[in-house]
Amino acid sequence: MHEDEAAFRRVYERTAPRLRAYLHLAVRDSVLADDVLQEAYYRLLRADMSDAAIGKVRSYLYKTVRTLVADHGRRVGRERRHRQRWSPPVSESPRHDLTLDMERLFARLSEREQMLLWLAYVEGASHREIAGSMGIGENSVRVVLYRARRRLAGILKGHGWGPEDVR
Amino acid sequence: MMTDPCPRGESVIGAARAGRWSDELTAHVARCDSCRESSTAIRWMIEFGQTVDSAPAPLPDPYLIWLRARIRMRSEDSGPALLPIWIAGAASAIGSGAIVASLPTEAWRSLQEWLTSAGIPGWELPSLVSPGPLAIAWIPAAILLMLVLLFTASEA
Repeated sequence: MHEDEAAFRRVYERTAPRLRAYLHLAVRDSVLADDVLQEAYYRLLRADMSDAAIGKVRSYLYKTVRTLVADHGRRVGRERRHRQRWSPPVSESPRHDLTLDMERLFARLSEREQMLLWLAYVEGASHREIAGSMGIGENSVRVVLYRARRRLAGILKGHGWGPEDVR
Repeated sequence: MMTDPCPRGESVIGAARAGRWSDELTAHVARCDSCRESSTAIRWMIEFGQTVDSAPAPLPDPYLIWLRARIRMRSEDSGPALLPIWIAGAASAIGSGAIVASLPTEAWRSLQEWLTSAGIPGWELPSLVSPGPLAIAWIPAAILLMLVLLFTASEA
């Protein structure tokens, strides 16, 4: 195996599963998610970040993905279609078809809130990494995260998810 | 600017992320609306991440991702490098076209001279190539032909 390829594979295996999962939630289209994933890793290789820490690489990937998804959204009016597709109400029982319900609730957040919360609490990214991915100042991360948490908590409350429903 | 109003907010966030709660923090969350919201949102996000992780979609093969990226990089990098060759090829095609275009004119003139020297009377060949409009059309046509040949060959 080529040395570059082996290094790439290591980075890919550490970053791709959750990045791909996030992309799938963001664009709701497996083919498009894979296309964006390919483009993001192409740009990563182009940027030659072979010596960078994994956190920086992840931050770069999410920033790239955010730009690509936004570009795509502008081109085809994704937001409008996305909202139409996800407008059906969430089921009455919060535990019914758990993953789908969670995805639907997550989809009610804005793209910015989704990425903020995903990076902070699924990826476990630091405020510095989040700032890099979102293109905001590190000092602003705490504020925007607080707003995003409040918004998510409001959505959860509105759909019957209380503190006792979450492990 | 809207910020967490509770001074215990950061401790609650830390506990929610780590999943480790002291009795004192648990009691605080029970009576603090802001911390309860944060705790619920964070724990929900962590659970959501675990749910997504538990049913991962098949990932594209990293080798294919890497290979496609490398091929594209090489292709893009070769563009500027090939520019001088492309310019030289175009210049040679234009030159060759001009030479090819002049051949019928020269051949026609030679034929006329040969007929005259052969003493064949009454032969007055029509001015087919020069200086009529056909000659003007023939030169760009020949250059175009050479360019087509050049780029067809380069694509092959």
